[in-house]
Amino acid sequence: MTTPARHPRLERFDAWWLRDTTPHALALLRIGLGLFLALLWLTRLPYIAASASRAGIVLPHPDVGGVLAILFLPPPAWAAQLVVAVLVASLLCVAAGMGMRVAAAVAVLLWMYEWLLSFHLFNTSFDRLFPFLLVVLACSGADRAFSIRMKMRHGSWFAWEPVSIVWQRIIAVQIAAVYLGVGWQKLWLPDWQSGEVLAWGLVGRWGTPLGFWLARQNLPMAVYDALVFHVKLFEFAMPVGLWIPGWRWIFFVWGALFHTLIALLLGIWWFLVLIPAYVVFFPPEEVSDWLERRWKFLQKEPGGKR
Amino acid sequence: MQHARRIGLRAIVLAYLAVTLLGLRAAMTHRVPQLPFLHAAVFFSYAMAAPYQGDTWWNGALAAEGRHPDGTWEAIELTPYFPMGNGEANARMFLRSLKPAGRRFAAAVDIGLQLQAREAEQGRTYDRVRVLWEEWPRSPEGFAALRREPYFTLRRVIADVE
Repeated sequence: MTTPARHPRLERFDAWWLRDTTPHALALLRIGLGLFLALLWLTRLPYIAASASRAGIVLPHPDVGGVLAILFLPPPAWAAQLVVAVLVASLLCVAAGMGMRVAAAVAVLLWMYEWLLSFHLFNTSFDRLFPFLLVVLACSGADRAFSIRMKMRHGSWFAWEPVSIVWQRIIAVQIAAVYLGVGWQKLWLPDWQSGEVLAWGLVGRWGTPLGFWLARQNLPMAVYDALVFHVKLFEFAMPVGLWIPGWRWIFFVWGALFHTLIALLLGIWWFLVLIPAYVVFFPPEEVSDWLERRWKFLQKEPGGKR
Repeated sequence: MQHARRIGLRAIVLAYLAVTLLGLRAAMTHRVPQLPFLHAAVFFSYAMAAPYQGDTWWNGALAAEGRHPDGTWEAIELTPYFPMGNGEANARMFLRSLKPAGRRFAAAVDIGLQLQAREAEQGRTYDRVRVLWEEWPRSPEGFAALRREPYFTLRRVIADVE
């Protein structure tokens, strides 16, 4: 019985979106993202009692009603801290590739709890983006390299098993979509049609001491206009440039510079994790080959075999 | 099994792309489809890709004052209740996630009541607490450099609890 011929477009779609591939790029993302998110919640731990327990002021999301409202009664301070401690521990398990799916699920559920209890007031894009990335990682097999799972299954941290490329593609498309949405919006948003938005931003709620210092230099508005143009150019070009093999590294450096400046001038450091996350734009086979050329002891065959 | 897995993954990819495209459309048009599950998914996608859409030339923040039983008023320090970094603390005070605006006034009352209770637990008894909203011009000299008279552009009581 012969296999029916498949449409060439479907073949190309499957090859780009669904082929089996090496897991190393995803594993590197898993480690970096897991550690970064654990750090993020560790920075929240000191003030969790004030923002998410009876010891402070808590305003649960008003759409939490009915039976669910009981779950969102402000807990005692020790319980609020325990929830964050468990969240941090689960993220460290994600990073280590130990019980990754369960750990990611626990992290996402506790993140949703904290968001509905308190962090909805902060209302950030990254408090949505990061749980989304965790959900995708949970489905991805990102623990099939550089993980405790591989150590226990094959006796080596460096053994690996193939994964579907689809999850890496989804993460890459999502990161590109973030830049695309932000960039496209700025083409028409009234506040972004001149440099004033940057000038005011430096002396607003987000301004760091460096940002305020820069504002006090009384730079001409033309400088801020040029910076806004640069921001728009960057955000418009990134979703395309990250995919182009010959240009990728230029955009990595550009992105690193952009997010570092935002962290230094506006204190918005949470997007720094996107810099190492750019690894998902590389073909995974390229990442694995690069690692093997530098770490000769990497297993050459999947499943722990040499 | 492989065939079923492939079909399932294709469906996930197509659903994800559809939601993401609608989210990007929402980022451009601020219109989100009103179908129940699709609305939530598209809004979530849009919200992942739409930070820092604008800014203002003024700063705003909550303030609070309490009245002692003897009738004297004093300012209530809010920093212990918003001890996170300046940006997050201030962003929280705007209560932007509470829509429509009526929910923000209800939240201000809730803040007043919780303040009264928390302060009482620390030995500072107020028989009345007012929550205020203050706005003042931004200044390169500091976030709160002009947070004082006569520079306030708005200063009003948004909740008064006893």
